[in-house]
Amino acid sequence: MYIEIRDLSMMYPGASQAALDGVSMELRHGTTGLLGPNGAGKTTLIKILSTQMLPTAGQVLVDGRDLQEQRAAVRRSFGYLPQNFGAYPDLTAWEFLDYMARLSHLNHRSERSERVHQALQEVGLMNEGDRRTGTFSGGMMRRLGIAQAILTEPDFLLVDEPTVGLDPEERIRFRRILGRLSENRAILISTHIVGDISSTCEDVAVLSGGRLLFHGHPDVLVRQAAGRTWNLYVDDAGFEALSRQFNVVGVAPEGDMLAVRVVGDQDPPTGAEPVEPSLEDAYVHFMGVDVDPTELEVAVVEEAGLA
Amino acid sequence: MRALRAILGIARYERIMLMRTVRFRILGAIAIAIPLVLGILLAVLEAQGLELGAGLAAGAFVPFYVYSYLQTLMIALLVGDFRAADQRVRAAEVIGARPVSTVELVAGKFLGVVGAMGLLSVAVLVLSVAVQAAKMSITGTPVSLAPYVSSLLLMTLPALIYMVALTFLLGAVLRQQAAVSLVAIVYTLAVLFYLGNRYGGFFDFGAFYAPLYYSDLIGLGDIRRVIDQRLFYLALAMAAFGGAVELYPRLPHSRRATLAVRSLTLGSVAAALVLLGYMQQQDAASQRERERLLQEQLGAGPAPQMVHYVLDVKLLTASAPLHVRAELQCRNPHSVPLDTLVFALNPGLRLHRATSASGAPLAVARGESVLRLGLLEPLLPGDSTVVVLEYAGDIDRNGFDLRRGERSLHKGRWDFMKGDLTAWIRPRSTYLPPRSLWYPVAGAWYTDGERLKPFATAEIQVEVPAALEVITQGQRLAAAPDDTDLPPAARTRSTWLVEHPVPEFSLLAGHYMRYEASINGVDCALYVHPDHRRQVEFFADTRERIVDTAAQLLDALEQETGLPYPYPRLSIVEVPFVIQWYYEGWRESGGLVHPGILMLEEDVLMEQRFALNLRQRQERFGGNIDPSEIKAQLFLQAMFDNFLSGVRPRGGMRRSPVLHLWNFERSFVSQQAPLLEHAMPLFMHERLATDMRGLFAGGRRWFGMRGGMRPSDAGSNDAAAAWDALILELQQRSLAELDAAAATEPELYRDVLEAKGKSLFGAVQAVLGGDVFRQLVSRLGAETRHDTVSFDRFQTAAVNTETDADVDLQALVHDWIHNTHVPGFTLTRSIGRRLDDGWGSVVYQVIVRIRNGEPGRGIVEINLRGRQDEVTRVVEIGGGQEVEVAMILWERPFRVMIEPFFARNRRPLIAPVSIPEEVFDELPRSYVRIVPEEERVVSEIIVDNEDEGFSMPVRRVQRFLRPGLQGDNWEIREMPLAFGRYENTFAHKAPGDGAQPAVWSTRIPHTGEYDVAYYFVPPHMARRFGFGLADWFMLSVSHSGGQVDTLRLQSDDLVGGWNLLGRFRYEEGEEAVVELSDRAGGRLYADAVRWRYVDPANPDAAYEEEVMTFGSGMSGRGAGRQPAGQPSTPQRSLGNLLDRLF
Repeated sequence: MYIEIRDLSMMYPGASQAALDGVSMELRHGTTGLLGPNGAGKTTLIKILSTQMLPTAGQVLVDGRDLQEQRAAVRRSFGYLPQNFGAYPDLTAWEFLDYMARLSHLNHRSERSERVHQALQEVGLMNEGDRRTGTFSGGMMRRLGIAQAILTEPDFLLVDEPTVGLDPEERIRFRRILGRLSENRAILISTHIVGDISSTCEDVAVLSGGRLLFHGHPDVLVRQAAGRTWNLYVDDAGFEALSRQFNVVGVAPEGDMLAVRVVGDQDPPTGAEPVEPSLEDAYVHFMGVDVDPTELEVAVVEEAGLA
Repeated sequence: MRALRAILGIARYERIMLMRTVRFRILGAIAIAIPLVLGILLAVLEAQGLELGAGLAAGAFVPFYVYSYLQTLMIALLVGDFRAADQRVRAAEVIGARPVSTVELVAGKFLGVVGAMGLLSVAVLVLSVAVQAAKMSITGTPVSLAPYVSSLLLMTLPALIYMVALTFLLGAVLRQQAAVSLVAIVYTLAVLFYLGNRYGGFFDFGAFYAPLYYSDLIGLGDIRRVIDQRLFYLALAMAAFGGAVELYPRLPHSRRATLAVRSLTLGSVAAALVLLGYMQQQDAASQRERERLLQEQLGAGPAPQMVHYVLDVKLLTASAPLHVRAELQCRNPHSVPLDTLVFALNPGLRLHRATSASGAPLAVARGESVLRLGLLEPLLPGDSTVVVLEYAGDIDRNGFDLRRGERSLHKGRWDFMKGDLTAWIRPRSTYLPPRSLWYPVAGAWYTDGERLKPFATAEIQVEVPAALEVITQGQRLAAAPDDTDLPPAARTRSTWLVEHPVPEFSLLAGHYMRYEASINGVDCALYVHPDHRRQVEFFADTRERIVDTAAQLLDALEQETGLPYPYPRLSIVEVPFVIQWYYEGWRESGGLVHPGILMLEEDVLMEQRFALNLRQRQERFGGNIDPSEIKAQLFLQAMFDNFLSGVRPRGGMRRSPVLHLWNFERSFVSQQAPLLEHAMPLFMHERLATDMRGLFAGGRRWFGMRGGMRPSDAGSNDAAAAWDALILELQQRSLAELDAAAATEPELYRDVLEAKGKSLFGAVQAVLGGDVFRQLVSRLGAETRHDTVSFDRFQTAAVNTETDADVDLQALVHDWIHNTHVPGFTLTRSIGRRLDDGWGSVVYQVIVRIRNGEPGRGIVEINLRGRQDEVTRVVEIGGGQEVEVAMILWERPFRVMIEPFFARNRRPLIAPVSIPEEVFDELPRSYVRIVPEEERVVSEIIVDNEDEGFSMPVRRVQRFLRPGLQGDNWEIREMPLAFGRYENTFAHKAPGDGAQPAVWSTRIPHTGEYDVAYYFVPPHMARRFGFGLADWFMLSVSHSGGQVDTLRLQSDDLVGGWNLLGRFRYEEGEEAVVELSDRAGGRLYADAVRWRYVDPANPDAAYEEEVMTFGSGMSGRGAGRQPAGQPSTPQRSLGNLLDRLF
């Protein structure tokens, strides 16, 4: 599958700034991470790609066919997991997926059953199939969301902010699932959490203020942060001063001190130990923003060996 | 196919999800429980013989009908914004991104809701059938699923589909579940309570008012109009569905899909409009106008007189529902030759051939119902000719039952409700009343001129499928054994000979069992549906007794009316009960009577009620009564209830045999003809019903006013209001003036005829005496048989009849017709004494005084009654006059009753007669005299809010300047039930601070005791105004030279009308005042106060129109007259009084 986005713009009625401003890029097989802070235009782009809304200008070609002209065909080949996903609480997981399968024109009972079975197995909900979705946790609901998205074995999967609100364990489980799914299809994952895609993406696009700032291999982004990433130990007072000078990527308490990971173009602080930059470091360096403090939990879990 | 499977799949899950919601389960349980409980309740009542619905299906359908109402409300509450659930659970986006098209998605959701609600409908249907089956297992009649399934398909499901579609559309437009529910509920309630039964059923989306009741005789009857209407709503549903898809917040699959949806929407709207146009065209004014023009063009010219018909009728043949060969013997009754014969024939019947008797073809001009035949040679005055017509087709139900309005012919007001079941030819049943014009009738049907009844004889041969029984006029001839012209197999033929001329012919056929007997020389036949035969077989073991009873009935019919039953045969035929409703819709008297035929509605439970009554009476008499006697009584009761019903005049007249005796035998012509044609039979019917009941059941004469409100309506406020409105109308226009306006105000004129017109004959009869009146009718009947009769002729005959009564009958009748005065009577005195008659016997002398307080003469009948004896006098009382009537009775009388013949009084006046034991040595006298002015005692004073004695301080200052005063000012409002002589108004006011009381005052003319009463506005009317009522309020009564008693009254203790406050003493010249304080617990009503003089000679007289009791809280002097808490004698309600008296 090959998706070409040409000069895509979106201006919401009454808005003073475009949600998307002339975005052009190409998406191919594998996982593409769509990074950007909140309000960057990620969800707008995903909604346009998932045929939820029309762009103000521009064009999207799917295997050479215009998305807006061929909506029915595109809907058949896309899987979509929106940021706010929910299911009918009175239906069991199996029933819900069966219903979604019917909405996807999977009309043969045996085929539908097989797909639902596979999807549940894929996301690890096989034992929860007879449970009403109203009793699902947030993580289970997300996995159910992935299950419904892959029901039709789509060539292209659109995933919008998949890990928002999940606890660290679910988040990691979710990344693993996405990693597996990316083996045989194209996936566009929209997120503002770099950790979600750092291990799986072969392609990264960075949006900010509706504009595409970067699109390329993650290594290119990472190389930009090489020699500009350090670990060091500071006390509370030192952290204050440090955070004013550098972009803080990570913080972890160690005894009375704080182990801090920073990135910046300035000279390294006293006692700083240079380290190899990660995609997250590179993204922080590129965007010049501090990392989301909630990511610290992920770091802790990863260190504990779950990642 | 893929789309269909997707839709069904979506529908399945939508249905599952809806049915799993708590809301659905609660509402569903209610929707099932209410009809179920209702069904069981009805079944229990009906199994006990108390049938609430009419006939087989009505009772059974009530639960299903109730469910249909509930269903619409459920949809409104459950469906709301149909997209809301997806958005609420955040599944809308993933659904929107699915390959399913929007049409499939919305259709699936739509069908899901329809499916869930449909399952509920089926559940209710199954339960209703089960209840019905249980009931029928008791009554022993078969249960048919057909009516339920038809109702489900025609009523419930289309309503369900439409309402769901509408709610979907509302959801798409309003996007607020609460708003959608509110709008849908308001719409539903508006249809149920206002729109549904109007505008020809146009708004009745649920077919709530459709004629869908099932009949054993015809099934659901002709429901084509209902199906048209159902299709119209289905088309609207499709349009609403298309709108909902169009507005669904999702990008469409493609332009083609968008185009398809819009085409569906617009196509559905177009289809709905086409259907609407079609329905309107069915009743189109243009068609009526065309009919009218044609009648003007073609119908002009003198009509021939029909002498004899030879009709060869074939019903339900392969080629046409009706095929007729008619030989018409016509006569020219005019003084000029006729070259054209004009007939009326139903426009649905196509004329195949028109020839002379010799077979020469005649020139035909046909337009709608008018048929003009050009004769080969002019028909000379007095000559006769025969023409032969052959026609076939089906009855066009738009071709008759038209009313002539000012500018065009039009149908009645309840087209949809009536459906077209006023005539039909169906495989199971045929009903062709004369007015359906199934046979050629002389002259144009809708003519501006006088239409004389075309009396003719006939020979009618009818061929029908063998399973059908035929009923028509005349005598049924036995088939001749040598008849070589046998009908084809599976068909049968009967011949009817009409030797006694009849004005019209009808043709009925159906699946009937026929029971025949010759009674008093009349061939009587009863035709009932096989499923209802038990009600006849109930009497099988007492057949002879029943035949005897029927013979007595026929005898009595002639003796009581003075008119003989005119036909050699009397057929009583069961017809679908819905027909009665159609006649109600038409407000047509005599709809169920044709010459020689009486029709009664089918009634499956009749036998059940007979059996129950039999058991009850046997138990009551402990086995000391012959069952055949009880059965004879039950038979009589059934006859009276069906054919001499007095419940409502029109109800009674609908099947009254009086029509046979009086109306079908003559034509009514000239001025005031409707008096003889409508008012006279109504009077005769009611009198006959009363007399026959008295004769056979030993019952009393009806207690009710002659020409006043109907006895059954005495307790009805609506009837009282209608009566007051009628009185007001008759004070503006005389009966003669209203006669001229009959065409433009037919409803009003009919009401006037039934009130004032009918009572005229009562007055004439009262003046002449019953026997003399009967002789008069008998003589007039014989002289005018098959001829014309005018009111003048009746009046002349009546005036020329010798009578003992001191009444100027000529003047009375003239006043009745030409004056606008409506008298009003008050019983001012009723006293009695025991007198020695000089021969050693004690007789009772009773003196009654009656005052007519209104201008214009009136007439009353005074009835004095003892246990065994009674005496009646008719007295004429001039306007403003008071008369004294002395009467003698040989036993102790216990009450006197004054029945005014049409007056302002709504009810008769009744007073007990208390007579001291002392015997006076005085000659008893019987006389009538006018009470001289000097002898009159003002018996009562009423101060109404319109009168001078009433005052209500109206505050002129602005409210903010006097913030301490509350409640605004008194305001006047009009209401028919308010007290008033000529203007029915009352004053009302919000509670205040006591500074604005309403005051009634009057100068007392004679020293004595007075019963003081306060007129309270009927509570339900007060509530209708939306003001509410004061919980309590205070009335102060001044009396006895300045004493003031304050009564605190509770509204709940009062009734609408006069409420007695107490008995108080006043001195001559004293100003009596009653004051209603505006300090009260809610809105106050000030209407009228009455001071009624208590006759010292008869202080216990209760000659109220209706004395309401206010038993507690008495503080006036009257309160001391009886033990605390006990009402004094005059405070007894009329009901209590009557209970004691009778």
